[in-house]
Order: sequence, then C-alpha cells, then structure tokens
Amino acid sequence: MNEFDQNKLDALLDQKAFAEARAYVESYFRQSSGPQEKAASATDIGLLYLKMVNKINRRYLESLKSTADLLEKVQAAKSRVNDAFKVAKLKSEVGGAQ
Amino acid sequence: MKTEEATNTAEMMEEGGFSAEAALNTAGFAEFLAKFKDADTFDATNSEELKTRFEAFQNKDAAAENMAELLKEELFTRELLPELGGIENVIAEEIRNMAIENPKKIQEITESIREFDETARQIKEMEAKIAEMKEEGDPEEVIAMLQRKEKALEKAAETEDFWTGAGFATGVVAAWEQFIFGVSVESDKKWLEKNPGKEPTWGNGKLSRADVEKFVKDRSLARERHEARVDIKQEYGISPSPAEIAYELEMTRTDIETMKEAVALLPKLESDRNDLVARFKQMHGYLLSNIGENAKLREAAQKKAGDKIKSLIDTNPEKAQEFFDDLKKATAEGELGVNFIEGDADKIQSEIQTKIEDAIRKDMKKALETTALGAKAYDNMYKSFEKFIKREKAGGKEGDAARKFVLDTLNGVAAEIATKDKAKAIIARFMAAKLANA
Repeated sequence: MNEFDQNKLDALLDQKAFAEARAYVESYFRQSSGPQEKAASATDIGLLYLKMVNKINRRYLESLKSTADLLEKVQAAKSRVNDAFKVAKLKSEVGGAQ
Repeated sequence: MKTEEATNTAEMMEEGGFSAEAALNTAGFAEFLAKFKDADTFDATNSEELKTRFEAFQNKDAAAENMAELLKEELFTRELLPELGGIENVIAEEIRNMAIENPKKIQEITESIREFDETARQIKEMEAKIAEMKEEGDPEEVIAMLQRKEKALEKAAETEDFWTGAGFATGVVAAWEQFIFGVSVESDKKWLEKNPGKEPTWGNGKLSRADVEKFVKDRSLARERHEARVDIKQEYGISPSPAEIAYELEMTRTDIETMKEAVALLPKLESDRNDLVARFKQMHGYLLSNIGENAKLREAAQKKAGDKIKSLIDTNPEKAQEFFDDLKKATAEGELGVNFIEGDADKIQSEIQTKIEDAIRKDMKKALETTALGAKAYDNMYKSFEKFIKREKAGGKEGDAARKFVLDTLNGVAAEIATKDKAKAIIARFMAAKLANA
C-alpha cells in the first residue's frame, strides 16, 4: 500500500480543492485490502483528522484568548469608574472625609 | 479520552529523567521488547530508543482505545463497520501492533490526542469565561460611561484656575453678590426672556441690558463649573485639583481609546472564529466524514435526491426549486458530506426554471382570459395580476430578474390576447408599462 502523502493533501486543501482532497483520502482508504490494512489506513486518517482539528483548535483558542484579553480591559476600565464611585459614596456616607 | 497512562509516563520522565532500570522493572515491558524484529540484537543501554519503546508500551492501549473511539464517533459511518469487521477491535489491535512496528507513531497519536483533549478543555473554559465577561461589561456601554466621565472632567477642568483668578471671581464673588445685594440670576434671566430688547429699569440708568446679560452669563457659567466640580467629587471620587483632573482626564481618554479598539476588534475575532468553524465543517463534511463509505451508497443517495427533484419538477416545480435550493445550501456548507447535485446542478436548475416559467406564463394567460373587466376594468385586472406582479422570485431568478420575467410575460400574454380582446390587451399593456416604470 502506498504511503499517505500529507503534503499533497495540504496543497489540495490550500487550493480549496475539497472534492479532489476527499477523492485522494478516499482512494488511499480504498486501495487498502483486508481488515488489517484498512485499519492501518483508518488510523492514518484518524491521525490526519486529529492534526487538522488541533491546528484549527489552536487558532480558535488564540482568537478566544485575544477576545478574553480585550474583555478584561473592558472590565478593568468599568471597574475603575465603578470602584471610584463606590469609594466616593462611602466617603460621603462616613462624613465627607477626603 | 483516556490520557492517564500517558500522564504517568510523562511524570516519570519529569521527576528524575528516564530510568532504564525503572522501565525494565515495569511488568510486561521486557516481553514487549522481545516482540521487536531486532530483539536478538537490541541494546537496552541505548537509552533514547529504550525510552521511545517504553513510551509506546505505556501508551499503546490508551492510544488504541482513543483512536478507535475517535474514528467510530467522528469519522466513519455504520455502513463501514461490517467491512472492517468491527472497527473498535480491529483498529485497536492494529495500533497495539503498531507499537512494535512503529513505536514513534504511538507517540504521535498520544500527543495528538492529548492536544485534542487539552484544547477542547481550554476552549470550553475560555468560552464560558467570555460569555460571563460579555454579560458583565459591554464595551459600548463602558464607552458611554467613560464619555460621561470625560465630559464631567472637561467641565471641571475649565475651573482649574478657580482659586487663583477667574474661577474665584465668577464663583465665590457671585455667591456673595447674590447673598449681600440680593442680585438674582434667575430673576434677571426671566426678565431678559420676558423683555426682549428692553433696557433695565433699575440701577438708575447706570446698568445697561448688556451688563445684565453679561451678569447672567457669568453667573450661569460659574454655577455650571461649581456643579461640575461637585459632580466629579461625588460621582468619581476625584478631588478638583488641576493636577488630579488632568491626570484623570488623560486616563479616561486612554480608556476610551482602548474601548474603541475593543469594539472594532471583537467582531473581527468572532468572525475569524466563525471562519474556523466553517473550515472545520468543510473539512469534516467534504473531506473526512463517512470516508470509505461504499461508493454505491453515495451514488444511491445522489440518485435518490435526483429522482425526488425530477418527480417534483413534473408535479410541483416551485417545491422542486425549494428542495434544490436546500440541497445546494447544505452541500455548500458541508452539512451533507456528499455533493448530491455534483455535475448536474446547471442542468437541474435549467429544467426547473423552464417548468416554473411555463407554469407562470400559463397562469397569467388564464388570469387575463378569465378576468371580467366590468365597471372598474383596470382595478379588476390589477387584482387578478397582483400575485404575479409582487413576485420576488421566479425559479432561480430573484429580485429584478424575477420582476423582468413577469413584465416580459405580461407583455407576451397581452400580445397574444390582442386578436381576441383588444380592451384587455390595452389594459394589460398599460399595467406592464406602469410596472416597468415603478
């Protein structure tokens, strides 16, 4: 059975040639004969899937972290206004001390 | 997925580095090594190779179970299972064998699964955190809050010379004027409003209208400034000293800029994530879902979809269009995993279009023939044609293209009826002209 060519698949995906990419993955799977070979190619495809999902998930997580950083800044700015207001209120309640 | 064994190995490595003795003391490891092709000559003092094999030994069961589960849950359909003779067992066994044939592959699988689990956990946590933070502070709301603070500070900043000059003159002196001499800003203001253009009758002629206007303006400004100083102290706890006001103003403006950047960036980041989700769907749908599914099954599915469209084209072309649009959308979004209309899309659309246009033409002709003109000939005709005129879609044609088709058809049926009924033809042409100019 021929080795799976990851570079070929990556190139097809970069070109957004999904139909061809799928055909390539399927042909790789189909060329294996017997349960053991099919299991081996299925494992390769599983590994390929994991790598692709991990790559997407890493970028997704980076984007979430950037969003969280921005929202933390929003919260910090809001807190600065609100905390100052609370202190001012407290001061006026305890007798207008500076 | 199970990662305990992998974690144990990692801990063992971390605590004191890899120990060949500890590895060889692990039950079953020596027997595992004996299965390798080079068992007769393998040198166990080769620490790097021994470590690779030990990791494969430790992680092979978890890798086998996790990979089999992943393939079953995420990638393969049940149709494939009989072909593989029960995917879990065959794949799991294959991976256990792989630990001997290619131990580095076990490492690759283990690390990929660990990352898969870890990123999924982090994404879940981060999404929950973001949802919580979004509820607590909307950047637009915070900007509005900060802008209110900025305005109050700007107003207060105008009085920064309060104790040394104009502020004192316009603030404290005004209060004393009012207290001692009974000069009232409010009453003077009312007098000015009620007596436009008149000169004051008080002040023995020494006081002009311009003096009163200046007095009202100065006192009003002093009051505003005093209120602004009270506001920043009461609302924001800022002492009205020039240095503190300047510092707070700078900080507030920096915060506003940061918030504006956040407002601009947050939707972009969300859109990036949506793109990634779409990419995953494409990858899963187009590329990896149902891999190995029997080609005949896919062909059957395509044929079934094709048969359904063909049957609808004959019985209900509008429904055929709806079904075809749904199929196109689902295929484009990668939801189906199979392109049901691959290669035939243009031909199918053309068939549906012809049928729909024929049906509309026939209905419009019938409407023209059966409408009685009567007393309100144009209104009666318009009512009969309203449903056609208001069409936004005609098969694959939408908006202007759909309206043009209706207009052309109306002119066509008007020409056809002209030989039999000139009155109807005149009204139909009039209606078409109005529609063309609408």
